[in-house]
Amino acid sequence: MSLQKFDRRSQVILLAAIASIVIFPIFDNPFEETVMITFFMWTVLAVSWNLLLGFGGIPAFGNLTFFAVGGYTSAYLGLHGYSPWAAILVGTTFSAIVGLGMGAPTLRLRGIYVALFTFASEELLRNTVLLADLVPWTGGSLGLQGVPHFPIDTRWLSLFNYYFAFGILLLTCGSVFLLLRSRVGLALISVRESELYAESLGVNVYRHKLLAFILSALFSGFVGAFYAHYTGAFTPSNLSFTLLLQILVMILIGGLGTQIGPVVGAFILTFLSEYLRASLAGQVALFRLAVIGLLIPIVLILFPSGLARLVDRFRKPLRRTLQRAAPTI
Amino acid sequence: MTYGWVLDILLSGVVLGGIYALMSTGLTVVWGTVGILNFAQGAFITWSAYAAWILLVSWGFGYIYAFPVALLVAFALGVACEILVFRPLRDKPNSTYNYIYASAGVGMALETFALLAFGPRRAAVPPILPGTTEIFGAILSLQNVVVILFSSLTLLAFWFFLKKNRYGIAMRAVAQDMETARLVGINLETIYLLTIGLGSLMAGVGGVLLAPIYYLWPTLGGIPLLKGFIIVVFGGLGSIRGTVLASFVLGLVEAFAAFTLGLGWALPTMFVFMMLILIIKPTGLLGQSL
Repeated sequence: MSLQKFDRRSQVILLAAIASIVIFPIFDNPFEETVMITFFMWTVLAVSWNLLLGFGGIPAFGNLTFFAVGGYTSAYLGLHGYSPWAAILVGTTFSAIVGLGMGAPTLRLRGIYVALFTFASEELLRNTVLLADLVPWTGGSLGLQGVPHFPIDTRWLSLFNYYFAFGILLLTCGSVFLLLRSRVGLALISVRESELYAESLGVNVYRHKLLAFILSALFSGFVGAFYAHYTGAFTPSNLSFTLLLQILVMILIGGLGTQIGPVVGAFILTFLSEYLRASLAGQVALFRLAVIGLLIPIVLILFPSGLARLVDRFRKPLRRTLQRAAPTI
Repeated sequence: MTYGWVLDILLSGVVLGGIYALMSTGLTVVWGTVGILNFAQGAFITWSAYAAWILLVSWGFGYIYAFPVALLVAFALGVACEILVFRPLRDKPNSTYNYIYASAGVGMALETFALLAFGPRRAAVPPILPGTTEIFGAILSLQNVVVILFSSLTLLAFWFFLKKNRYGIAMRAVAQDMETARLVGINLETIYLLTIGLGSLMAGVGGVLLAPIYYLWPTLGGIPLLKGFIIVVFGGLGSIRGTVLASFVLGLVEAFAAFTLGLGWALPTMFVFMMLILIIKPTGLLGQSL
């Protein structure tokens, strides 16, 4: 089931989840609030990457490129006196343009070559921002530090960040949901299932893939630009292979090619990771990276379709058991 | 006027090329025969170098023992990966990309284990042969002579193995046509196991040769792995001759670029080059048509 069917119960669960996220800051848990913001940001990255990997069937490995293009552009502009709003707008737009520029040649390639090309783009960007000659523009290995925060009263700033990040999440998930229900989304999925067959039915394969690429770049860039102003810095570690794999694990745990999967995966992994980081001291905290790394083969071998479909599989037998049990109650 | 520096660059280019050839031949053989793009190979390189380092520095053995043990470690890691990770993924859908995800995850875990075990400090690895020699006015460390010697010997040995040995011929048969190879009675699982083992072993030779030139640290294998990808794309994925040729071309180009542009620019330039190759001629120098 690639298009999530929204029955009454799913609607209730979804609304309850959104409502509890909205009222969560009332309880005033600063640590959990920051973890939630991290969760929102990684979710946007996971959902927009999943649009390519899961729904488009495009083995793209370069979504951190878009994240970093948005982040670095916005951070640079913010540091040079532009207002964060303008910086975010420019960063996001620029990222989408890079998505177009990168998607156009990438999508002429096939299979493994797409993976290599997009991976190369990310490594190219990472090794370029690290160059000693470019330190005045990129800040080298320290990255761009001291990016101005949003011009909001400090009392409300953390609350603002929380709702802004949640807004980006809703925008991303909502757009992906609407896209996949539209003709364009159905065409995209048909391209994933069989490129040849889709083409024979008159679907413009190239154009649909390119659209997915641009949208993915747009959302990734948006959250990158937000990240720069929220944390006040953007560093080359945001382009690291480690981060790439963490986002990948979120998608795989939740379920590749499902809409709710990456969100659930991001939630589980972010909280697991942040609590491990907070409770383990120093070097041992690195252990979580080993756990995340080993999770990939384990999930792929044992739950190849992720948690979202695992739930689907259990739901039917569960309902049957309940119905059988009902009369005796 | 002397042209010693030209010779210097040529020699260091050949040294780099030899090490790259070992590592990227491992990648390209595994891709060509088994269909796995092994992102964990960088970690194999690191671990084999650490194995050699433990034997040499902590336990005081010579290279006579350290070298084979390091190669055994690389071989064992490759075989373990095949049995525990790749084999269970083989018959599932989407396996080409699942191999990439899984091997990247294993690679990250192995690198983290190295970091936890040995710490982030850089360790110095003693050279196989200390001292220097002079050839045509260029000063060359004996370590570099050893690198050139060992890498060419290993590559030659592998070449003969592929041409003359039963298993080598079987490996080429599987690379050419898996179905027909199975039809004539080749055990695919054995060949896959052997290919991954040997590919990792060649990368291990590269790791042991590389560590004394640079320092040894937990992400030693990272950059060689990236360069390996650039080289296999340049040479043509799956083509061994193309890969070896591309290794030496890139080794020389890198030596010249580092000399003229500065060290930092070498990698970004190589990635631009890789992307251009992918756009213009994805099959590389000597690859088969798509």
